[in-house]
Amino acid sequence: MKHMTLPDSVMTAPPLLTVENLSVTFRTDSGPLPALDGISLSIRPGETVAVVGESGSGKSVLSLAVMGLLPPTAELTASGLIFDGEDLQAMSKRTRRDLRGRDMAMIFQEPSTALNPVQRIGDQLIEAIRLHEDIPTPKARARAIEALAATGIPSPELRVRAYPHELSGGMRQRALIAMALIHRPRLLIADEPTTALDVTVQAQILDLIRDLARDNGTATLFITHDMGVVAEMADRVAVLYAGRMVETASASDLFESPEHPYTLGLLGSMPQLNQRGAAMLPIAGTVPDLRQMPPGCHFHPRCPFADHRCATQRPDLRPLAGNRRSACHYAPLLETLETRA
Amino acid sequence: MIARLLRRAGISLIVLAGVLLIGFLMLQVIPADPAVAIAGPQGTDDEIEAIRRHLGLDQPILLQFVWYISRVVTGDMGQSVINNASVSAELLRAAGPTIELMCAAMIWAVPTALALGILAALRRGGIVDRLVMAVSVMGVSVPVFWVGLLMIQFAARTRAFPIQGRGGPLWTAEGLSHILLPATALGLILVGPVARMTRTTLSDALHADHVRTARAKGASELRVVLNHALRTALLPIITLVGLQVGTLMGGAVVTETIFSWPGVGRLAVGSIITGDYPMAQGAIIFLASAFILVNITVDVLNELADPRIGSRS
Ligand SMILES: Nc1ncnc2c1ncn2[C@@H]1O[C@H](COP(=O)(O)OP(=O)(O)O)[C@@H](O)[C@H]1O
Ligand code: SF4
Ligand SMILES: [Mg+2]
Repeated sequence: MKHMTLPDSVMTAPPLLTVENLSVTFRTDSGPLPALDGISLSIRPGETVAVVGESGSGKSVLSLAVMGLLPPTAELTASGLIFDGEDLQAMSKRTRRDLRGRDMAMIFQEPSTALNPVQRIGDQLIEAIRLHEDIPTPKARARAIEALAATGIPSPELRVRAYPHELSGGMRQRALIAMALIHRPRLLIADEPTTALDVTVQAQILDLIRDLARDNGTATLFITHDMGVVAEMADRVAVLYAGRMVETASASDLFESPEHPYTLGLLGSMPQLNQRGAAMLPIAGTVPDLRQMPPGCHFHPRCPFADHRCATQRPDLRPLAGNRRSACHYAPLLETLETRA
Repeated sequence: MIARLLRRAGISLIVLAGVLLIGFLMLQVIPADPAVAIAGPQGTDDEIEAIRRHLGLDQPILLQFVWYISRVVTGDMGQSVINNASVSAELLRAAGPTIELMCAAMIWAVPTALALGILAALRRGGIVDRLVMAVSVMGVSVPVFWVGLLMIQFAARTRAFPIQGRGGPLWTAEGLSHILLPATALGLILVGPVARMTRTTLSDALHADHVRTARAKGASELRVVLNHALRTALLPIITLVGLQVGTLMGGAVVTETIFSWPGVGRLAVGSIITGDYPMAQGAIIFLASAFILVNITVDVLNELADPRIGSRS
């Protein structure tokens, strides 16, 4: 697992990004929709933090909130949103925009639609370069070709003239990665960058993101619903359920002893763990409607550990031994299991 | 792309042949006999018979059609039965003012519609948005002759602008003031549909993934809207404007008639009223060919605007 290789300096450096008590509510025709509720997390320079959760748990909303790309229907509140020592909420729109693409960049889930369909790949990269750097187009073109080459795209000097539809899905995602990393951003947000790709390409793209991020010293907020990908990429993990953070821990701790039944469930759908005979708890049911949350623990209708207390009393995200937190009344789970048995 | 265009041109040729056939048949079914018309009220039966033979009207209809086509292809569309003028020459003379009028209508209407549509898309539910929706509904339901007549009423009362005819070249004050009202009336046809199409396609495009990518790159809002969202929304707008040129030509016929604008439209209407059938036929063929040509042009523009079209087929 990746965290083993992280130098100590990373663990003690001040955070690059701090999110404190972030909530996002959408105004919709059928009333307010609380997509995120009280999220706190931080990323240190060079670190990779994975955000996991089922579809609809608020992962994309979190990444858009950090990028400052939420739609106008979204209402954001946070007691802190600090990037590189600067308060993102207090920033002018202009300053915030200057950060985007230069200091913080994003890769999206759908490479097939994330590129402008009527603009050549090269022109899209050149635009990304020239938005933040005043260099002549020919020079920018050379840089673009270089950046494409660094992502392993064959004959990049030809690809710059291609339109997106002339490239494969994997190629497009490489081009998008090249574009996102062109200014060596300090923070990269990757929102399910491999979900739309073939399994064989997935591994290559994961390797590429990890290698390029390491070479550039880029911190990564890696968003996925796939625990296998988390194991591949993450130093630390935050587990989201229905807009709330239910567990956060280092990747090694999380895989060794998950402290939230939902995390257990997510791990249960990982084939390797099943073969090892680890707890297999496929999560029954679906994510509840965010507008009509069940009282008590939001997970209780689906939780195999739930009892009467869970149905009425909402668990806080509380610290456990080691540098980790869980929002379950019955964490640490192992002790609970022993006393209940 | 070349093959596609050739195929498209082939189809257009077939359509054009159809138009010629209809134009030809029109002359066959009309009650008036061109020979009688040419001979005039004093013509004797012998004279009429001679003219008929001279025009080939006594030959089999199929043969007449072949001759007719070969004449049209060489630019000979016959003579006016009223004043013996060459139909082609008259048409060429009238084409200029019609093109002038249509361009003048589009030059203000398309940018206005685009601007209105963009504003409406950016502020959905706002004042401009509601205005655009109202204007586009109005534009559909209020016929151009009504608008034209209202303008003439207004202009006649205030004597603010000339309401009859063309005042010479557009770069003279006289020319400009003459084209103002007809161009305004004609252009109004376009504003509603184009503004509405811009609003719809642009608001869709603003939610597209690649537009979000552009924002994530740090592009300014203006750049995001114009270079990315509008650029991809442009395709259906270009298509619509192109198709509206057909409507515009129809509108030009009406506008020219109302404002006595010396164009092909007025020529067509005038010659139908006076029973000058060769002239009417020529004008109709001319308008139909122009329509086909415009459609091909729209196709080519589409292809240039969207690289995906060329490789799709
Ligand atoms: N623009 C929006 N308007 C209204 N609701 C939204 C919007 N974007 C996301 N949501 C809602 O927020 C919740 C979280 O969405 P999202 O962050 O996309 O989930 P994930 O990325 O984890 O699959 C979902 O219930 C979704 O319907
Ligand atoms: S608090 Fe109760 S319902 Fe919620 S996760 Fe823990 S055991 Fe399950
Ligand atoms: Mg998502």
